[in-house]
Amino acid sequence: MSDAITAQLDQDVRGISPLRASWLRFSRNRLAVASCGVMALICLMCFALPLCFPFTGNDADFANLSAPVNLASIHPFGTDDLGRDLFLRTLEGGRMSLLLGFFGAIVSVVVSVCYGAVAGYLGGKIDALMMRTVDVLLSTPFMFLVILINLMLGRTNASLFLAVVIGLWLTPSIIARSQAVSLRNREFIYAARAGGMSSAQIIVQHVIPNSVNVVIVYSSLLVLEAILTESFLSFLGLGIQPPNASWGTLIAEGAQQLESDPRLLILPGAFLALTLLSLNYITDGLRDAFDPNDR
Amino acid sequence: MQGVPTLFALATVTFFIMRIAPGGPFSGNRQLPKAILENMKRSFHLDEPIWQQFARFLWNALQFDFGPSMMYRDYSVARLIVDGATVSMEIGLAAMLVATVVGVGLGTAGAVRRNTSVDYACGFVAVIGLAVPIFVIGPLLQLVVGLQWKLLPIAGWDGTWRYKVLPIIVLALPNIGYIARLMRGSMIEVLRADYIRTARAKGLGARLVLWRHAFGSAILPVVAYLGPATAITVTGSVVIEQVFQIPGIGRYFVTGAINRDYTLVMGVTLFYGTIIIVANALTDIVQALLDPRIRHE
Amino acid sequence: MTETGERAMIKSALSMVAAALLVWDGAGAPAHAEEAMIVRGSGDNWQSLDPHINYSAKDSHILGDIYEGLVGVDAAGAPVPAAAESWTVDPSGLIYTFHLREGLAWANGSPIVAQDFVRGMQRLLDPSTASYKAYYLINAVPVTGAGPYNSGNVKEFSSVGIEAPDDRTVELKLDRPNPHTLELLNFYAIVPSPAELKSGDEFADPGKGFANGAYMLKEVVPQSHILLVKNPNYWDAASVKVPAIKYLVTEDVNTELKLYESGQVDITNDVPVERFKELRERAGDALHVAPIARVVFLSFNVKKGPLADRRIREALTLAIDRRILEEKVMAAGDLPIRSYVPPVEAGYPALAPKDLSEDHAANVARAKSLLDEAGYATSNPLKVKFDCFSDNSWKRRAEAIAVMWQQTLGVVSEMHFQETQAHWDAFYNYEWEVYCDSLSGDYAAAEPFLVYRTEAAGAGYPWVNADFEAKIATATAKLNTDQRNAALSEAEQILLDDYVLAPLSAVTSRRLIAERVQGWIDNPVDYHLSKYLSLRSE
Repeated sequence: MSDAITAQLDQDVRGISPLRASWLRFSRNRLAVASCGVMALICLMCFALPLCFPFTGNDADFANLSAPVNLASIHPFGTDDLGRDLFLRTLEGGRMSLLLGFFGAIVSVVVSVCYGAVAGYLGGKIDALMMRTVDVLLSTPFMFLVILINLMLGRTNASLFLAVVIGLWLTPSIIARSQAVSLRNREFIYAARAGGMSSAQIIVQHVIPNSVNVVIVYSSLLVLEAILTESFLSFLGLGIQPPNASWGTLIAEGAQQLESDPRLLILPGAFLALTLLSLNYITDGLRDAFDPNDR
Repeated sequence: MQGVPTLFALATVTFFIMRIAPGGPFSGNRQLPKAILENMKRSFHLDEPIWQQFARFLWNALQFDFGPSMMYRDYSVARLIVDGATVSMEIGLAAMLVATVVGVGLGTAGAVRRNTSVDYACGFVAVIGLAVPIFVIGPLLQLVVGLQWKLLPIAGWDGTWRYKVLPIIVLALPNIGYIARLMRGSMIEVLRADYIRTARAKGLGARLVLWRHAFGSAILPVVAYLGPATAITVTGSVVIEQVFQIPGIGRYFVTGAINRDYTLVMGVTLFYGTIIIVANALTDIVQALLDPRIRHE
Repeated sequence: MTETGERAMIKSALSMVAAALLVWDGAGAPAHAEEAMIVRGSGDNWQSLDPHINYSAKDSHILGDIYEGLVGVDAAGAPVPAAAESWTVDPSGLIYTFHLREGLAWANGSPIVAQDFVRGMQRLLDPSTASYKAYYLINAVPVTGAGPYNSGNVKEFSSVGIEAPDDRTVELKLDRPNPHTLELLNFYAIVPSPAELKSGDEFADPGKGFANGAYMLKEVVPQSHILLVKNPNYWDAASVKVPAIKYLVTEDVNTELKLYESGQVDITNDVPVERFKELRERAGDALHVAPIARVVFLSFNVKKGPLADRRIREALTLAIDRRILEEKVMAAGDLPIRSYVPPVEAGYPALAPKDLSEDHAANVARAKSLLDEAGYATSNPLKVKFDCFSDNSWKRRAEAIAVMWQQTLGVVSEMHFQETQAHWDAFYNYEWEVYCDSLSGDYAAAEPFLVYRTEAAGAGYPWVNADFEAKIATATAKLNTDQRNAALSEAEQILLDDYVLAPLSAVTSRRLIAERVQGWIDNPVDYHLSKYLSLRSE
């Protein structure tokens, strides 16, 4: 698999295009732009709206257990069976999912770019060893890694985050490495080396900055995958731990009551689906916009 | 052959993490008399020093003998794996076949009619496959197809096709999403490539160009995805097996790890590892056959 | 292709479509594979069909159908003569003599003699069997010499007080009297073992015919089902009404419910907690809820941290609104209780800690002042380390309790969720301050719950109380059950008043039972043999 991606990417990164042209192309993609708007709106709702409520999503209202939808009441979409406001809980769950998605993606990008840059620039045995490790990890079922991490760190949010990052950083690291390999023989790197810069300095000052943009295109896909991964793990009880919630845990809980109270599934489910759709179209838009073949 | 060190690394890491993890196979909420606990430990050689246990495990593993499962005591781990894998493979392979056909179709349609409503619709279907968790789709299908329409059984397994349809569909859905997305991306790229433009310029029909020239190259990333994905699918899905009550192998790793069933986990680990290494090797071969460039490298 | 060939093709294609349609049609037909069969959901896969190895309580139904001990259970869970038609107990309560029925035989036809029962008990105690349930004959029924034999210190089985003086007599000698002996001996692990048994896995082989209960194995498919058919050699075969029983693995409780609703399962293993409220309204009499010998509570660490202060333990106990917790939050049919012993024994009183009243508002007021006294306030909130199981129902319960503490007392709970096995092990680290705990009694009475709290039981609780120990010693020396229970209840009061635990709920069994199934009687032992069931004739 890595070979195919490498081959494809060696082609992709031949030259570094002016960002502006790409952004212009992106802004012409109406669906992608609209998706950005939707994402912005969802983020705004999840991060700002909970501040307007006089209570939090964890506050149980024992007087109003399983309250039905009533847009005029204090619980517009009702409460769950612990008396927690469903809408607020969905928003706060979204905050968790989005934070996990964005931070997971950022950390994955950072880790993969650094790892790929080191491997690609140094080459030789170190490169072989590092990429072999990536291959081994890639060929280990994801569930496996998650369970092993859980066994080591216990069932905490930290082990969830680690699991998500481990699941995400592998593919971009291969991409980053192939970029680093192609950079190794460029004139400005030769110049830097001739100027007496150490390998570490070159990696930090030249290789990494020039690899980031290749990976960044994939970052929206990473956000999407992080959110998805978390929701899958929630079914197994390995997702965000209570009292915190995420869209994943809410959906997993709601799925249990599919027949009796579909509202518990539909509200977080709709948010998640909308987010994933938007991220998907943004990814497609970015990909099309940054695709060098289109010039 | 280069898979052997990988397997060894996998087994070693899993073995020691399992032992280090808190909780053991015989932990219970009732404190057992010491003698009973010691009898139980002795019967699984858990009273030996850990290096000796590891050596014993390696030696026996070479003979495909992992001992009896600590949870399901009537059966050897090897027997559980063989029985479970047969079922999981059947479901998994069928699901991957469905996913490949549908996914490639959707992806190609999206790429050819790029940025039209067809494309968006295909993208939408693909994302739904990805975004709606199988633990939602599964119960939903059981409810509608099984309970309300009474077309298919809700769950269970007797080897007949009626019990296989729903799990196969549910297992295929997320893969349809991935494959469609991959196919669309690579097809768009291929269609832009010079040789396709040349072919078109020469006046070849669009359909001919698409199928004869573009398709072969565009499918490469899908093939690359299919290898590992099939490996993962045939090793079983916890969710599907639990929801549809299928006696497959997927649940063994998760329940084994949770119950600290050391023998079962180790057996399944090596089985998974082997399947994935074989699948990767097969993928490399198929890719080489499809893409002459790889062979030259 | 010739014309005839083509026609044949079309013909065969048509017949295939027709066949497919027929099969399809069949799929919609009533789902009972065989009318004269009861399908029982069994939850997770059974642990083992070896009665001496299995230690999973929920498998008791399967094993009870296949194997029978000296003493059995009736439909209401009380001990009745089984393989033994009668027994005598000597006045000291130390020697039990069982008289076997005439002509007992295994399903494969070999006769069963008293020596087979002795062999069964020997196998249970044998250190190389490594049975979890060996303690039934060591601590629960204190058989003379059983402990040293099980630990391997004594190799000779002749030193153990289990004997067969002749082919139809089994004799048990105990170290101390235990009036509950018969209730313990009807447990599925205390069953005979065939002379020709070579290894335990032969019990799972239908071909061997190692069954002496009402049913025998016909088919075993791991992770799928067990099919049992009537055992023709069973002594009471004439009164066994249903010819076949199928135990279906139902790992997913929501799927089990759908199977029940479609008629593919007659008796469920459980019902989804989330659907309980709705089912109670909708299912009517089909929903069976009955208390079982299991209690759920929070243990407090009385040795370390803030909870070493009894006032704080009391405040935390008082601040939990049990009624809301079990009836509204959990809403799974479990009963809120204020005692440690669940309500499973008719002659035993329902106790409560001295200051835990039924009036929750009063409890909260007292809790607040207690916490005040102990020096905690909103500016200086009490922080507790709260260890809990990570399964959904415990998570929910613990979350709700944490919210109640937070709302009434401003207590901040530092939750630590762990998988089952890890959580159990974490008990012995004593790093917790509040620990999610539960206990099942080996039989439906107060005694096993209270005896487990003594120092001698070695349960590892960091609470030892001389008065409590003295009361238990008084109780266990008595032969009369009422006198025993009077002393036991005094012991429980000591335990409750020291607030070493916060009682939460008495667990109930929850099942849906199809209308066509007759003869089911809910009982606290939660032991339901299929031989008492029948199908309503339509």
